[in-house]
Amino acid sequence: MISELLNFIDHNVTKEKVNIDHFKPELVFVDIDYPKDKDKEIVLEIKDNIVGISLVEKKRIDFSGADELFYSLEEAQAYLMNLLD
Amino acid sequence: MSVDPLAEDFAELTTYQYAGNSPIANIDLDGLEPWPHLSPKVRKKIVQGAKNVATAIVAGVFAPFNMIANTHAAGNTTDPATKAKFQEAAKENAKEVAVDLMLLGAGNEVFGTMKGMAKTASKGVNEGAEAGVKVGTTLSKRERLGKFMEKLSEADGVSNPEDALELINKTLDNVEDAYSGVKKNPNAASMPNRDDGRMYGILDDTFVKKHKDGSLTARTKGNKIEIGANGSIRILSKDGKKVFLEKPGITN
Repeated sequence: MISELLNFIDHNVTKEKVNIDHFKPELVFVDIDYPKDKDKEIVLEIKDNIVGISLVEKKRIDFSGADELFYSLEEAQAYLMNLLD
Repeated sequence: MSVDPLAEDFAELTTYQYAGNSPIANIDLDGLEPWPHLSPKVRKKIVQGAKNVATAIVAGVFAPFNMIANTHAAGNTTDPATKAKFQEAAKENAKEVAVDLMLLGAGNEVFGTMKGMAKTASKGVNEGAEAGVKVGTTLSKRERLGKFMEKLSEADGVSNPEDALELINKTLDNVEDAYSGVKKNPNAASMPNRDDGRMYGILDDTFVKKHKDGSLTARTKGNKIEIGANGSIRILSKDGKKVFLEKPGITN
């Protein structure tokens, strides 16, 4: 799921707006600039077959869990595109 | 008993609270969601707005009909004096219609202002809570994070990375137990979890990277945590440019 989602992001989001942290082989964080608020970013935690998607304030400490969890690639992609619209 | 139907929309609040945990700033008549308590001044404006709308509706019912009737009457008469009289009456009716429409507009404007004020007040209350204003027995996430930082800074230092990680989790747990109003989920270790209104720290090894020198790097969705081999703790922004907390470890 990690490579498929990264491939999807690569095709749909401008590279300058994306930061990918391959934290571990089984865990990747993707930060994407949130178009509706420059102080926020979309954060994807892709772990195994679960994608957590959150809206996070850039300059704040945050220990909370993901806003939404997705077990399906298609649903995660649709949710992400909706945030980016 | 049934589950609060808006529980999903207010995940940050316990389902047992009243008026968004802010009974002074809000009212909660139907037990669904908080509404800002309105000041007498705002209430007076709302009542005046409602009166304007009512006046406009009552007057507005008759004026257009009178205008049409007088226009017709003016068209049907051949006597110049009578024609002028009906035309003058129709003009007066037209003015009434215009005034009615203005009143309706004013009423709508006041109603719109009222909605705007309510929205602004509600936003203010929420921002106040988010900014750290104490709401009942629970605290906002930002305030809890402030408490966490404070408690973590005050805590005795530790001498190894494992204890440092435990210190972070334990400190956050204590703050969340005391102020989040959300009971700890026993399955929280299987993160990434869906946000249930409570923060859980670093509970899964997947989120921790061990380095050769014994130090650790941990990740949350919003931060990076560097833990030194001597138990030092640095909580940073993800890009490492902003340091939120720096706590020395203990070198034996």
